[in-house]
Amino acid sequence: MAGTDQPDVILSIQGLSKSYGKVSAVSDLTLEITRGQVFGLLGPNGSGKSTTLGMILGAVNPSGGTYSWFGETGNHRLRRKIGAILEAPCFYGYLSAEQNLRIVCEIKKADVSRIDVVLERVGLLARKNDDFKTYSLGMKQRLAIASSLLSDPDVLILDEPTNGLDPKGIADIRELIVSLANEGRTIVLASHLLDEVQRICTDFSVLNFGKKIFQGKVSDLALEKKQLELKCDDREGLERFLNQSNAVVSFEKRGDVFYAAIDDSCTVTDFHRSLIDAGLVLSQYNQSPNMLEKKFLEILKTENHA
Amino acid sequence: MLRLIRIEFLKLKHNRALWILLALYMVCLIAISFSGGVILKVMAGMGISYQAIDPTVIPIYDFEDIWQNLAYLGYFFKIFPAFLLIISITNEFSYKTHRQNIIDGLSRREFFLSKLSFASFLALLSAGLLLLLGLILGFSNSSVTSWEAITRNIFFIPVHAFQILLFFLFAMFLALLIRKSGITVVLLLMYAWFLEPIAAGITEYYYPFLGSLFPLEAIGNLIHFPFSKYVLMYTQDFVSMADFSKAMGWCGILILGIYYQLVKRDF
Repeated sequence: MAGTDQPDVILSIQGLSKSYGKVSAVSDLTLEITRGQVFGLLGPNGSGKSTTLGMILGAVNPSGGTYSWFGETGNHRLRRKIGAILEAPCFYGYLSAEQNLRIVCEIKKADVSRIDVVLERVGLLARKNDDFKTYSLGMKQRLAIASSLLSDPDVLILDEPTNGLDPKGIADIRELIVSLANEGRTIVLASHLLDEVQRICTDFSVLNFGKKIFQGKVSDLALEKKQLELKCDDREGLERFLNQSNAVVSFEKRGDVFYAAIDDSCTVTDFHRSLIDAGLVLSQYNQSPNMLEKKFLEILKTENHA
Repeated sequence: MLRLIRIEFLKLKHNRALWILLALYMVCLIAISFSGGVILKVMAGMGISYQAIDPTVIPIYDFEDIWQNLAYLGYFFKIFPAFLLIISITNEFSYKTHRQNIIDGLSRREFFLSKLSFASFLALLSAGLLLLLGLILGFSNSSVTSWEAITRNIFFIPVHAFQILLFFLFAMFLALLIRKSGITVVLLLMYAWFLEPIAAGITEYYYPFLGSLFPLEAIGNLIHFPFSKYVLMYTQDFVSMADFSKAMGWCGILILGIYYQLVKRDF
């Protein structure tokens, strides 16, 4: 790292645009993704996420702007070193998993010995000789991820990888993504599922109508006021406590559950201790999981007013 | 280049339609090659003769005639291998694998070359089979088997490869334009059997030169109808510069058209 604190830039997008006739799908998008980030690309359906990924992966021709991978103008040789799946998993239906991956190996110039390795990784080794068309959607999606891992890439691009899956399938894929991220791979995850991005990603950016309207760190969200979801058998006691505590900025009661906003300076430990001191035992404690959702809706709202 | 051929082969080798169409095409080529002699024998058996000539002495299988005769007949069943190419291209669109191939790291130029290599392979296969059939039929029927006689018009075999490749390019262009196998096949058949013959026929009547410029007309004219020589004592048994230029013109246009669609259109 030759004494520099420059971030290791994986992907740099400069003023990228795409228009279909008069309709602008992506306009003047500038974005930078550095090594090790798990980057969430958020936005409502039709906000330009997939078009953007299509452009940086060579499938869609940009109307304007440039992008570079690892500091080099994008080309097919660089794409071989990137693992990517866009939208639905795309394979030849009449070929088996192994036969499909043989083709990808040939394209990526990866060794065929990788096929068993990646199939094992996603738990499809036992089904490798079955035709792709006999796979369930969850298996297809896992095969797509296996395929993207053939060249053992440092960068993975995943577009709505849990779309249409059942809860088990969603959990499997998320677990897989987290373990891939833990290996130090840079991951770009496009999703409209906010809690997914919050659970998995380190950084995120919000697109709307083809424009980037926000970029930030997921961890920064947690620094804003903590939203707690509390439940206690002693309801009156909890309500009294919330009314009196200095740490509580505001709270509201919905049924049995209390939603409280806690001051930034108060840590979870402090808050807990004061509850114990007041003799209260909680039957439910949640740090609100929809922080990103709130932020997201807030961002979209201010954007729409602007 | 070998890698691109390998990719295309991996995509197709387990496709049953490919092997069926390929077998069908080869059977047709063999059958039509042998049928000439059979037809002449049947005619002789029925006592049909032309100007008191026994039909079986008509030298359709004699070197050098045989090459043009086979090359002309070999163009008849071009639609089967053309279907193969259409399937290989429209499959990519229906499975969306054309897009995934690019994302995985194939350049659009490589994608184009892998499809072109498959078309060339089919053209060479067809020409190779005709060459083999020509040698077999020639040696068993021809009165002259001198090296000179064998090779005199053998250039019709490479011309056949070129001709059928041009037809493939036409089919590939349509497949890329339409991206759906069923519609492409119907349109290709309608165009080849009705639309162009009618349009070219009418145009030719008024402006012969313009009429000869239609793509399939120009491609077909590379090898002229050979059998008239046995009746009229004349046929064009060479490829004229004019015919060659028109076909080359379409070759350029079709390759550019295919290349443009693969490189400039969104995947």
